[in-house]
Amino acid sequence: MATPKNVSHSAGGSHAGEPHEHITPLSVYLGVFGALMVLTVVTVVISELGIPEPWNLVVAMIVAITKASLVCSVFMHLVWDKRLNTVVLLGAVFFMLVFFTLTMVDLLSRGMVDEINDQDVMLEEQKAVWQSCMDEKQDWAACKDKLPKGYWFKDPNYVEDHGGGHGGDHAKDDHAKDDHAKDDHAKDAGGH
Amino acid sequence: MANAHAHDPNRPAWVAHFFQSGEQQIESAKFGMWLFLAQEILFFSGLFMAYVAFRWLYPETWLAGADQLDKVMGGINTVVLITSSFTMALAVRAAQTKNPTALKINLLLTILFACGFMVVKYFEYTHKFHLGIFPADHYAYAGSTGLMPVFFAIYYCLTGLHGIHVVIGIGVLAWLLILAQKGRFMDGNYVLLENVGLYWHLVDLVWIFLFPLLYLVK
Repeated sequence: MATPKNVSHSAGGSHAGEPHEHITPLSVYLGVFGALMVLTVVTVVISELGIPEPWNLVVAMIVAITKASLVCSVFMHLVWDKRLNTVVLLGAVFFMLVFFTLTMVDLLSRGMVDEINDQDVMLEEQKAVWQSCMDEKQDWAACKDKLPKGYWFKDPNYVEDHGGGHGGDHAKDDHAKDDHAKDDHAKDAGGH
Repeated sequence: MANAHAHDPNRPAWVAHFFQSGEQQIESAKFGMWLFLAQEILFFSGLFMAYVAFRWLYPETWLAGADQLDKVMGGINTVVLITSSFTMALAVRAAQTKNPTALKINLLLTILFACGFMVVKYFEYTHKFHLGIFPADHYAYAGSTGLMPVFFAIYYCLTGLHGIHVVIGIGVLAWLLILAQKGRFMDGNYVLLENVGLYWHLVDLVWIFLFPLLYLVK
């Protein structure tokens, strides 16, 4: 098979074989750059206004998404590129949102018992105990024990006790787990 | 059968024999880069997910955590990175308009802004280490409340991963500058420059979200 390297080309390297390209006017780049600077100032100013908790995040994200869209469409040439590249970007964003949604659905619906690990998830009361310790001592290390075992930081000295149910007797194991879950649900109902 | 279009006098020498045209070669390269960027977005999304989950669980910790961060430093870095994105776009434009001097100047400016970003980051990190603000279990800064070690674990992971991307970007941009010095990218074959540009804009994009999420919680 002939390779292009071995083929002599007409001198001068005519431009006809080159892809048609879009040269963005300098004014467009400058305009986008200016808009990004203004939006950076806007996002800082908005954060100083003290908008209440969920809405400050919403406003900050609207500004950030606007900035990101400007960068993607002009600096990254998506407006002038084949649509396929935009589809790839939006596809990634879509799957990221799927990931966020499913994880948040899990977190929001988990209740107070992590049945997979068979342990309590931090209860409000426990959180309050730990918080009051932190308020009093102002020291992370001194209040570390107040966190429930197996919570966000695993205690290396903590040996998990599964009630000796590792023997392979699944029916018994499941039964024991059910009882445990029932107990926790009762506690849950009583506590709230 | 021999490669018929290989004899096309209008076909540039840099087009590989398995592509129909230079345009197809360039679009394939760009498409590949966009697939990589999609992977990068999902790569970062794991840490962003951790951020979302913990912020939802401990909003008051996030308010206190952002107070520990220097808004001015973060703001300067935002401006520096957006400017470097701008000069990167101008570098690609210089290749399009076949202006080797503008290409080299803009690549150099992009590298300098990237280094400036890392210098600011260095001062931020060393200041925190000096105070004993380390991630997770190594956290040793008395006088703060809430689950601050978690906030800073996420802070260091997110900014650290982003910082690694900036350092890699500096290396790749320096390589492009050497190629530009050798006279490359002036023959219409500058898709390599464009793809590095796309990577650099993505680094900018990540910071556009990190800045309000970490520094401007209030």
